[in-house]
Amino acid sequence: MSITDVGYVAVLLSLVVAFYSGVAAIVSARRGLEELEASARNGVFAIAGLLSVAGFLLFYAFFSHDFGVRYVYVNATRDMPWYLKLSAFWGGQEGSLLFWAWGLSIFTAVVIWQNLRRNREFMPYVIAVLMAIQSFFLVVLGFVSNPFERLPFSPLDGQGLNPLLRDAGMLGHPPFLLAGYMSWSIPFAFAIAALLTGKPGAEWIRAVRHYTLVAWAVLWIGLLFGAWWAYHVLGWGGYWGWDPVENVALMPWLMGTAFLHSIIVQERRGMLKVWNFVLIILTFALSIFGTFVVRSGVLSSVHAFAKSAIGPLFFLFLAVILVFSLALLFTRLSSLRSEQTFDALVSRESSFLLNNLLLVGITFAVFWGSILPLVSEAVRGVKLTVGPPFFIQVAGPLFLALMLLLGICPLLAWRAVTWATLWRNFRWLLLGTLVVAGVLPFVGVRNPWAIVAYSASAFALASIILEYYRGVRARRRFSGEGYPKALSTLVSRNKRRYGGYIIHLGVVIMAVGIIGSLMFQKVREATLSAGESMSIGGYTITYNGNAEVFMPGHQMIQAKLDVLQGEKKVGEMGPGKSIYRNYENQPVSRIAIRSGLGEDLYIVLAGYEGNSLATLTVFVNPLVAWVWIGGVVLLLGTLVAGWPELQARAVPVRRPVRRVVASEA
Amino acid sequence: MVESEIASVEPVAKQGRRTSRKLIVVGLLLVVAIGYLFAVSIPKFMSYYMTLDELKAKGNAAYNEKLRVGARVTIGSIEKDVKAGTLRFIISQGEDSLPVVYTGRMGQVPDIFGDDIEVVVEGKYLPSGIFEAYKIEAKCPSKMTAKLETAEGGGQGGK
Ligand code: HEM
Repeated sequence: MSITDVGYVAVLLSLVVAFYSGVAAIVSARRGLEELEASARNGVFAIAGLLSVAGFLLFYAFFSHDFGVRYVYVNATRDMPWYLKLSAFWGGQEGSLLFWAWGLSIFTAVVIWQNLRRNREFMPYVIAVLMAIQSFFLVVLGFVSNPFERLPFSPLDGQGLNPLLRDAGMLGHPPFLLAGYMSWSIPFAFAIAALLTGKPGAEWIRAVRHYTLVAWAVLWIGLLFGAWWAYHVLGWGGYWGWDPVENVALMPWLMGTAFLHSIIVQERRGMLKVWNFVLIILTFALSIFGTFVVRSGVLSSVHAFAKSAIGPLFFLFLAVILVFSLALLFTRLSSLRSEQTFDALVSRESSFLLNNLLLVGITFAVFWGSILPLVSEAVRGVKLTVGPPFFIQVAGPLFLALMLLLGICPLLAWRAVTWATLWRNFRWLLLGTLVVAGVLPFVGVRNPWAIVAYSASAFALASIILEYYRGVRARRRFSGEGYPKALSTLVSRNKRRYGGYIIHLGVVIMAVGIIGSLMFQKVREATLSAGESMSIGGYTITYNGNAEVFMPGHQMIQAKLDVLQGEKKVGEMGPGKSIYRNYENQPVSRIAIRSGLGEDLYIVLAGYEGNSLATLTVFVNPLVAWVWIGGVVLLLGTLVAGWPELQARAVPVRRPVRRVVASEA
Repeated sequence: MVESEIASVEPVAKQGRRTSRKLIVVGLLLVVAIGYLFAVSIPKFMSYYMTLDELKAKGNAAYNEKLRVGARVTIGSIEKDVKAGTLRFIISQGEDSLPVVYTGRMGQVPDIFGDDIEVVVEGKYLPSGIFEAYKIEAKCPSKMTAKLETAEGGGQGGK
């Protein structure tokens, strides 16, 4: 027996404990046995410990070059740098699933810990639901897709990760994506607990908001890393290809965004209760869908994963989740009456509703576009597929509408608007927007869609600024503070609201980048002999032949380029191709990128011959940097919105102050 | 007093119902709009996916449609001329084979494109019997996995 077998034993033990804890938690709730519940809780902590042992042992197997473990043999080589060994953990299916389960065990333990005194009624059921989910993953790990499986012999070296995956980007993208999917289990578990306990009111909504923000942000980091990676590694000049693997990750994020907004309506007005349950159930189902669908081989993707036996199992799991939760919801419908009705067509709550419809609409568009081959084959016997232009044409206008709404929403009062007040603020936005729309054609933006899209962005931006300005002004009037102080007090006293607006600012900044790079990208391809040059978008690129560079485990052919912008030399660039041992016929492009706030110069070595001939594909991508900047601003905003209330104890004293600020809306 | 309360509550409820109805109309309009976007965009951007034998079975009917065809690159069939910037190859599946001319950018050919790789070519099947592809997608081969599994005598191997 080898040390890694202990990992497998830990997985099996976890399964036993998960089963026990789940059952014990339910029995304890039904019978009111506090001690049994404590025992279930201990089970949860034990699983976190056991799976940590399993996880560390798999890392250990990678770092100790234990190639007798099949998973290590397939995904690692001796000479891989440390960060690739680290990322080889989730380079394949078995490790990814272990990562999921391990992450869930830790997150579950944290949630249980934080709720030792809070949400007492929900917790046994939360434990039960999470243990059920955990058990599914543990069954798969234990009996179908075992990362600790041993080969009958111990090879001296491994095969190594697929060259495409040999990138530092692998450190960030997969784990965050998997952790993001995994984290949606928590709000889902609270939702089911709320239905099971017959308390589907506002408590569970308050209990899940922070966890939801965490899941949402983690998934966002995964998406952002993925886009960054695609852009810097894959070499087709863009960051989002509407490939099924990307789409399935976007869907729970969009649905989750809808949920984050609609719970605000339930908290404020006691409406949309059923809708909130539906949203979180679907978000979780989409996360499970995202975890598995590409691996199941049902949707084909360019990022191919080996087809595996877990396909049917996963569909069964998904079906169980959906049938169980929706049936449960159905039986509770009578207790889910709205406490209020919509008072007016134009109001804050109806704008949230529209926001939800748009987000869900986009999710469905992405969903149907992704599964169209399956559906059309089932219905008409032909496989229809659609590519990026389809998604852009369908989702584009919906995102545009969302952007306008994002601008209007803060101006609308709850319940009903008074038109005079609305107009007083709205006219400034309109003015700002019209000015931008009028100026754009003179700075080179002539495409009508680009003008519309940028005007909408300007509108949203103006609204966010106005919102901050009004808040700060009110604060100053009230307290006489200076601007910086007023701003910081304003934000720290209303983190959710002003954090939300920072998030929106991030969205707008990203939109600026996306619109620019989508509509104004320039591309040229040319085959050059040494000494020849090509020009594109104001750049002149001179080719000076190829160089060979040797590195441990691989070898790189590099085209040597001098880059001039106008007359001025701005640098040297060296796009290349790496060739890895064991993967000689699968060279990997090494893209050269010169990034700036205005535009990126992006060069791919498309082909070469000998030392003095190369084909270069050159992209000029405007404003891409703003996609990353916006993405990070969005994250910072989430941090602000979700920052825990540390001065909770001081509340009674400060309450009068808060009221005044909060009601200035 | 009680009466007047009831009297004042009723219109509010009615108003609420009217607003709900208006909101439903707005929602339906949105659904219709999304449906419309779909109905317009699918025919405009769709392509038929088929395997090579399905394409051959369709024969003439397949000419000039936007197609995506999946098959394997025939070993030794790739003719790439870096200087001229041309790429031709043959894809095959069982008995069937199809010559392909690539018209897209060389920089957009996937890195892993090569002999015996499973590809999906997107473009048109010309009456001359040649497939004109403006896009090539390649499936990542988990070749090593496949080799290992055959060595063990089990499994169908990776894709
Ligand atoms: C893709 C677009 C959008 C994203 C990613 C987004 C994201 C977010 C997030 C994460 C929050 C923080 C929620 C919380 O802290 O609980 C937030 C707050 C908010 N969002 Fe959005 N949102 C988007 C579009 C919209 C739209 C279209 C509206 C208009 C209906 C809207 C209205 C609001 C409001 C009013 C808040 C502040 C909530 C408060 O006052 O407590 N958002 N948004």
